[in-house]
Amino acid sequence: MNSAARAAADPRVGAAFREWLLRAADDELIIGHRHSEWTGFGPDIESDVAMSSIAQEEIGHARAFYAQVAAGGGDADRLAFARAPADYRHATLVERENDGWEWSIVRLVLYERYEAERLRLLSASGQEPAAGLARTLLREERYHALFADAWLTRLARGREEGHRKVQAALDAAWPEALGFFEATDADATLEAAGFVDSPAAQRRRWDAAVRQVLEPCGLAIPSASPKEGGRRGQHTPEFDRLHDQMTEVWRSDPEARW
Amino acid sequence: MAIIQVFVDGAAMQTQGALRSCSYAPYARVLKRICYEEDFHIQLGLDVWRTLAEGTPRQRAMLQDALRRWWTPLIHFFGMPDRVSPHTEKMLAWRIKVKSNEELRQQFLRRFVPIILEYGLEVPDPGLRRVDGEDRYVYTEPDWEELKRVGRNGGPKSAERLALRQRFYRQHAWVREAVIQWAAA
Amino acid sequence: MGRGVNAEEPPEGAREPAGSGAVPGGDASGATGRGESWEGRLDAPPDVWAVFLQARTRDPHIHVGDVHAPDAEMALIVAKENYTRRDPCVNLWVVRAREIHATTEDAAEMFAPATDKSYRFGGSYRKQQQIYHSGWRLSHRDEDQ
Repeated sequence: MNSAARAAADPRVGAAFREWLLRAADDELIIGHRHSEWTGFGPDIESDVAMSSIAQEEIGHARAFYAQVAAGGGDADRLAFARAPADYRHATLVERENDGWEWSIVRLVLYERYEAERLRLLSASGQEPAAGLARTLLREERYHALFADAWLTRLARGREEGHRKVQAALDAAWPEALGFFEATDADATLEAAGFVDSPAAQRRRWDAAVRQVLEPCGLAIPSASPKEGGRRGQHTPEFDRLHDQMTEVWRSDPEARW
Repeated sequence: MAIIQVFVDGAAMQTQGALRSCSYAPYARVLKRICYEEDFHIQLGLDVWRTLAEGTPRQRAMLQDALRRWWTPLIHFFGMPDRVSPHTEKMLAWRIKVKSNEELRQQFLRRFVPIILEYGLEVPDPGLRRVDGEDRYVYTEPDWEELKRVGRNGGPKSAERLALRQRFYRQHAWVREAVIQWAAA
Repeated sequence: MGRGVNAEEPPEGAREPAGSGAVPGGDASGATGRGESWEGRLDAPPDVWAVFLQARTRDPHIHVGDVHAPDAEMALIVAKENYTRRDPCVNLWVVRAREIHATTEDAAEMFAPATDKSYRFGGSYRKQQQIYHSGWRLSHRDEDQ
């Protein structure tokens, strides 16, 4: 039985697959929200517009993923806004407040390579329409990575002060970036079903990919332990504040259309 | 948000639409694309407007409340009345301005007051009415001194907004220098 | 960014902003007074880039506006989001605006035909057109025209 058939037949595999999609949806929604907070405050107008556009695209991707999860029965809006903070499955790195342009750019670099890898695995999964969606999204994410890499290079290699700031941001972000690969039971199920290889193997590929942009910038790759929790719904006070703000309109009247 | 997108963008469309034929060519050139995009903004705004106006009683109340909050700034938007506007005559002569403030304000009212009434909402100015037999509105004159104050950064949020922008501008000084350095290398 | 030639029909007294058209004398330093100079480089700051967008393959690139950017790569990256969000695009060019050479505003008089140039337009060759087109139809009967 191939993976696609296995997923169709086995409800446990189906559930694991939906959890995988939900992680993607939550990652995209929350990082999109953080990107959107740069609107009006970017270092120059052109980058401000570009970052706002990237934010919009990420939220659009989230919507598409929620629709896939909800296809089994549910409502994309409810998934996005009606869950309690502990029910979200994004990695904690994406919920962190924007701590300077260099922080956001470093996060973007790390995230985009993770996302590209996730989309590649999803597009090879044979599970339509999710696989088709992944193939489409890869085209947009390519630009996000270009934007991130261009900015990283200029910040890290411009002058000494910039280099220090970028290194500090990388050091701070690294442990929670490893949290992208936090494993739950779903990962073992997906691996057994042949959709993905182990989180450890995915992490190795991601590590090699990010090195390709970090090392030419003269940045030292940190060697910290992972800081996990997000994939199990353990989030930070920063997410509580974000969630509060993001769901304010929704919570004012969950039955209303907006 | 809907009020801003429909009415403020709508107001902007009146002025910017007119300026497409102004004499300052670089501005006129870029306005073509801007007006096209503003038009889209207004369509989107109207979509939200309709959803709220046709929604729950609470949503309608929110909409009416927002309209009330933004009404005076909307009337202010077009500037001082022609009789006291200091630069209008010269601007019109040089075609930097194409229509007077009052002409644009009237255009705006003709376009948008019917939309408010169509959805059963109230115009927040009890003194506003169409002049019989004419295509013109009379309205309660707002406080023009307030407009002058806002224009000089004395509005309720001016200091806060400026301070925020300036803070980020300072924060990004190193970013600007970094990109210049990199380009020069 | 200004242009050497203003294609609009400005009312009396309309101007491009001072210093935005071509700097006469072909010298970016702004040296003037070399007689009847008709061209020069655009007087733009070094970080302004003109953006040219190709909508579909086989279309020409059209100037859609400008961006500020420190270098070419960044200019292309920001041009994508500032000019192609709603318009179709398959290719972008960016050029540093100050590298663009342009004719001066008053050179416009050279481009307008002063004497009868109808010999350049096919419309004055009515009879010949008819002969040519009927011949074309005969020889290209098999093609969609």
